Amino acid sequence: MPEWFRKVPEAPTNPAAASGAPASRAFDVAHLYEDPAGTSAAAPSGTALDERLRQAYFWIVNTAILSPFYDIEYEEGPSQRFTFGDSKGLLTLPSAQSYSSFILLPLLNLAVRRRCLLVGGPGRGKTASAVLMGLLAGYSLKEVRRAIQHGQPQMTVTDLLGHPLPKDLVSAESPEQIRIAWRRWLSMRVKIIDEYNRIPTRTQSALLTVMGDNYAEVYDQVYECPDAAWYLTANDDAGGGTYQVIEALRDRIDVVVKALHFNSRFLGDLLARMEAKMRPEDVVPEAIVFREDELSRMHDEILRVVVPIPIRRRIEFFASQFELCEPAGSQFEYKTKDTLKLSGVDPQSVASRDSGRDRVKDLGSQTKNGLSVRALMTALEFVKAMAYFRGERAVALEDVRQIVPFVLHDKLVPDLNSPFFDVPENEVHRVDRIGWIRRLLDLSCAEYDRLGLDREDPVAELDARLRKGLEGVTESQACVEVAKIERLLKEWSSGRKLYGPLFDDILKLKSMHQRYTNYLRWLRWTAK
Amino acid sequence: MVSPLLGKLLAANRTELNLRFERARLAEPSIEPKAFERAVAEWVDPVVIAVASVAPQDVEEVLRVTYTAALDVVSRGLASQCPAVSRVFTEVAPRAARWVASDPERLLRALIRATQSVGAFPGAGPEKWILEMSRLSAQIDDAEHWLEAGKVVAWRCGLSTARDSALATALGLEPRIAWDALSVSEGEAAVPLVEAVSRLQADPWLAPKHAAMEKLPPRELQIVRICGGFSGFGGPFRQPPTVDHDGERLLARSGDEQFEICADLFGAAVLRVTVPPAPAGPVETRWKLTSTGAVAKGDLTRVLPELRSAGAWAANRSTLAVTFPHSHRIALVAAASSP
Repeated sequence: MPEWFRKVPEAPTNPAAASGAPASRAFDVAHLYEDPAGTSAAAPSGTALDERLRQAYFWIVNTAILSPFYDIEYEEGPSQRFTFGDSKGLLTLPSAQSYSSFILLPLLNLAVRRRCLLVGGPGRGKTASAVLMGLLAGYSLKEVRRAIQHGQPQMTVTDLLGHPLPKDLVSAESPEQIRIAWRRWLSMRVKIIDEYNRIPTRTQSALLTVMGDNYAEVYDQVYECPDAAWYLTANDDAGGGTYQVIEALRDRIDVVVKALHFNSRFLGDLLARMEAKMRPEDVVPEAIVFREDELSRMHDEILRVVVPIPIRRRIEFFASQFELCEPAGSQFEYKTKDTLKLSGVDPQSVASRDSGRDRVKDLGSQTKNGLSVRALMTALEFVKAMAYFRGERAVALEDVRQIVPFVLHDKLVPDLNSPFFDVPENEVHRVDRIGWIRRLLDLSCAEYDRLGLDREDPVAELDARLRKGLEGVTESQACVEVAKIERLLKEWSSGRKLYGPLFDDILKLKSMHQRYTNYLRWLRWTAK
Repeated sequence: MVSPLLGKLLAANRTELNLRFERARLAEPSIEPKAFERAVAEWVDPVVIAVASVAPQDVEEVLRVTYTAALDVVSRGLASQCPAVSRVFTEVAPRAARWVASDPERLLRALIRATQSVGAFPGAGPEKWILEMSRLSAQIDDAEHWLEAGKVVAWRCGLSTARDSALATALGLEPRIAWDALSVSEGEAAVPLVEAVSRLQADPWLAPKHAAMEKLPPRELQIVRICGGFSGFGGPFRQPPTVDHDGERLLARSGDEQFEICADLFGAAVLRVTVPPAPAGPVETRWKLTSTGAVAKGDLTRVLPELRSAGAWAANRSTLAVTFPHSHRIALVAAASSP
């Protein structure tokens, strides 16, 4: 077998990241007790974990899975752009290191131990990609293969989780005496469910418990599972398959990755592999296999990547676009799509009453739902992982722009009746959800810039003062803040149309007003 | 690098402590990791080492609390506003380790706030407060009494507004501790504590050691303090002030702004008054000041040449405040003993 199959790309794999010092070194108490070389933060070989993660990525891309698609595009200065065809399809030649989502996102999922759904037609490498992740986590090929749960219509809960011991079934006098032979995959840190949409609904519920709550239950016996990176595959993510996937299970999926087609220009490479009897899973280099403690440390390091406030504000602004549904409630707090959904009333009949706003401009009109806390937390974690992968210690806006569409793929449900999708240039977004969410983010950022919120954001200023704490704040200072909040609300109440970000800002101001009001009451009580 | 003990504790709590930093940084992005690393090494380490020697079972909890307190100090920039705050960690808390071990949060918070309050008061000396508190920690057996004594010390370090409450606190302390807090050795005290405190309450210019004597030493009229100053040079007044009194308090006015003059033997401050003061009190007849600089209060008289150019004056029972037409400063005259 040619030796280059085992060759790991040399470090630094991203020279810009390796040579450019981060804007501000990340804080770690370990700096205080480690030796100055910081050897314990690096791998035994001396290579930092983020560098090894990049080496793993490039080994997979160059050697294991042929995925010549650089759809996660970064720029460093201007990039060349070309248009093709009648639809003026845009092709960008990225000027900075760019990545293939099909390889990168499963790898990031391994680092942050979340739940990744790989979708695409049969034979496109979904399961192979998931198996590689198991190998990178240090399991043998045999272990990984045995642990894959293949969805099929007759799969029972005990097939999935484990069987009660037959002897105990006969002799036990109470359920707790029935011992369970738990399936080995439950204890693994990489879990692979192949074709999960072929699993019967009842078994899906058992799977949901393991995915969501990290434990399995059979005959009143409970098995606690370790944190794990999940990989689920499906040939069709739009609810097809043998069984409809229950909504709660779909909601637990954190990131959706599409397996793209095979580019026929790479047939020669396939032929070379076949002739060399090369199977990537047999030749994973030792240097890119991560021990359990290394994966844990990598996760810790990812969590320490900073989301700068200007970036966080843009994410907040984007997230605030979607929940408002003005006609859904009389009290301000209940003017949400969630209220509407829980009521069971036809959304269309209510949406038609939602007048006064420009529904093409209103980003909220494009979705049927808002963003859940879980979705936002997942997005933040993956965005940090993306920055970490690039060797950065702070998130950049482009990290958000590139990653968020994959995280929100199944979380934001488009309202295809929105006039936005009737605009000819937007019609493509009815189908291409990744492109649609990226477009939403771009539009949200453009609106953020138009409002000049980086320069002047009165709510953020009020919030910053409140976050410093109320300790030592005098009565007159608190009164000044209350007056500022009331003045701002009065100003906004006159003549402004209500959009999502304004809705969230108003509720934020109300909560701050309440904090000051309670504080003032307490202050006056203590002065008596 | 930090001590092996702190290194071990940091490693054991690494994730939690790092997350605390990140959370603090979300609220205050200007926190510099380097600066905070220095703070952990220089501030947290001494406290942890000191606590480990008296109560090793509490050291982990003390680490968490001290780390959080240091984070709070760094994020709010308290140490740059008042450098003495850092000495809470390096001097006072290690000496009071036996109390810090049992209630670290309350103790550290109280010490930091007190240092900050003394430091924020014009002319007060937080360094002296730190030294005194370190000294007293060896003399007192109980944290409550120690903190109470701290109020008396704060007054002596220049917090003139705390005078009434400090003297009331002194009365509530064991006499031995109260004398110590007043910087009078118990052997020097010739009168009971109650008597001495009563004398101090009556005369803001009387020193505690004199109040403790059987017979008060002779006093003469003298300029006891110069306060105020032009706002361009860091003082409170934009225009040369005028003075007034409301029977009890001495007041100053500069343009549209009103101030209260809080002064005694240990400190003087001119504080802006946001609520309008009470109407002027009756003219103080005990004090007299002539254009030759001759000052009289009852039987005491003295010529003070510095007061020849005096513009206006006002007085309360103990203090005469004198302004000058071309100055932003106020001279305070009182009957006081030589130091």
